[in-house]
Amino acid sequence: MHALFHANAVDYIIILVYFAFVLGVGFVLRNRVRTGEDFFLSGRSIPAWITGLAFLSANLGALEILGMTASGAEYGMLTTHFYWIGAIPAMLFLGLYMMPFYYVSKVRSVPEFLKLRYNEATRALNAISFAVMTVLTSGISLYSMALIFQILIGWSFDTSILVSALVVLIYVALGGLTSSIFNEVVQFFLIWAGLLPIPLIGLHNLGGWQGMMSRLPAGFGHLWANLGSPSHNPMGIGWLGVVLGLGFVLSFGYWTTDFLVVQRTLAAKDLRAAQLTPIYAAFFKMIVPILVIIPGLIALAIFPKIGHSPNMSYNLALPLLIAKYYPPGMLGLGLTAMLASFMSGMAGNVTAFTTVWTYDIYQAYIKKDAPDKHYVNMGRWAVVVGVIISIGTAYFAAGFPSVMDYMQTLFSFFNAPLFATFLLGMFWKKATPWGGFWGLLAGIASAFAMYFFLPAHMFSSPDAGNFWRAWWAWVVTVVVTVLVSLVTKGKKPEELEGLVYGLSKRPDYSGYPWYKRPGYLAAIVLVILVGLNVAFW
Amino acid sequence: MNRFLDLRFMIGVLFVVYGVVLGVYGAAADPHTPSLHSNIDLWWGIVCLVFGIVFLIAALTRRSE
Repeated sequence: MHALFHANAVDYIIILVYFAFVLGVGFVLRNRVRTGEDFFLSGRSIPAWITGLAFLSANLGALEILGMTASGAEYGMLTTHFYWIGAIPAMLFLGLYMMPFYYVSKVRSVPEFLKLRYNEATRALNAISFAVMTVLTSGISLYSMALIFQILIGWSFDTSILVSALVVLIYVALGGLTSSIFNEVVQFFLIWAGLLPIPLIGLHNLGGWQGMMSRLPAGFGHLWANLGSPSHNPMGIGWLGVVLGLGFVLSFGYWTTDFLVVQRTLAAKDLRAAQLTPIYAAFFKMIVPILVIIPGLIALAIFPKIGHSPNMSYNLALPLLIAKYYPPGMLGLGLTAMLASFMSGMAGNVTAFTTVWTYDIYQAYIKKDAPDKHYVNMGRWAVVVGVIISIGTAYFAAGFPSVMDYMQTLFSFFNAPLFATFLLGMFWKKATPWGGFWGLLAGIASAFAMYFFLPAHMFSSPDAGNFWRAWWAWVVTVVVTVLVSLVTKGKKPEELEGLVYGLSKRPDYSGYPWYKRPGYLAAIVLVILVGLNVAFW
Repeated sequence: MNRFLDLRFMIGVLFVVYGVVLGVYGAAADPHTPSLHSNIDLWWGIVCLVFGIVFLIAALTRRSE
């Protein structure tokens, strides 16, 4: 196969510097990891700007970047809904209303919170489904990365997989969550360094925003104007589906309950830093479309045939722009940015898996009272096993690529029922332990059932299908939880202290200046968000 | 001794290295792509270098307090 790029010596030097750097970080941090708290929670000692950037970057994988650029070329500014309506409100809600319960209860993982609020069964259900989902997801992204590097620079599939899996394995096993978080923050800056020249050069060449828009189909610059009816926009979605499915259940489900992101907030040094983590992340999340969606639009303006010609799929939107604009040198930096975002995405999955496996499965059901050191060692072995399973999944995915597509879609609405369980658990003190369990199980089962038994043509597009399935899985969980709660026995109020709204102290920040208070900063984000939606209406 | 100040130091070092590699390569080889006529390696190398130096200064001044 003919590779899209020809990497020069200088490009390889830049990539090697990055590998040396992440391994170096792992070795520097190795001596600082002594206790389980250090390994799994970074000793709860990290300032908010670091956890905030890590919170954002854990989700900003290479697939996300390529996929969102592709989507920008296919659907235009509509894709921005995934960033603005589909993430920011959920992040603010997590910071303002949910963090006090998560952080103050001193839990080490999301399943552990479920155990405190509901019961052991609910925890086991979440821990096992999360552990399975996470290693599979990490394998799927490993596979996709190998595929990307094969197409871009002609590396063999095996080399790409083994080299990147080995590097991730070493730095996570050495430094634990801290290593993972550090690399996520570095990745955030590398992505900007590697990709920001593309929108700058592209917009300059096309004669600015207006110049670009004049070469695009009508309506590609709008967010809401064409959502009146599903048939009026290329995504096939109406505004109600966007608001309920994407804006409410899918994004709240992901950003507030997925342990991959929540783990970063738990590493913060105090409650205020934990609350600020997703709020800082929201500021940065708002500007990510500059790096992904604008390049998508530029790609469509420059290559009008994109998406309609066999060697120009939408997924190549970003690589095609890199090939067009970047000389050797910048090419290395662009590739490093993608490599970094892939690897830290995988590291995030592996650390989250390790923690849930060690605390919520191994310690809970296999070996209860071992010394702390035993669990740290178990954590290191879990990293090894997690990476090996990921490699296995990657090769499995290579044999059955479409199966993996389905799985990823399926996982995407797994979090919707969990969000309902959390919402009721944190804000309705009458939700009972078994109400939580049966509600969650019914929600997950209904997501499965809708996915496999409803005909695909019921929905006008795959995205519309995801949005509506997530919404109904959420509704099922709420209804079942409420019904079962009405007939089963609840927990005593003193058991729920610190876990439920109304039985917990609200944090008081009145002594702090406005720029250090979560409430004020969240309000600023909200104002900017409304402004952006109006500006691109 | 706050180890998380070290992260600023690490980012600073990485960007200074990248700035120097890109800038020197840009100045020496003057690479071009058909659609781009300015020397982006040189310019972006300088941007990375400045960014790295800012992080290094932030890390070092805070440590001496």
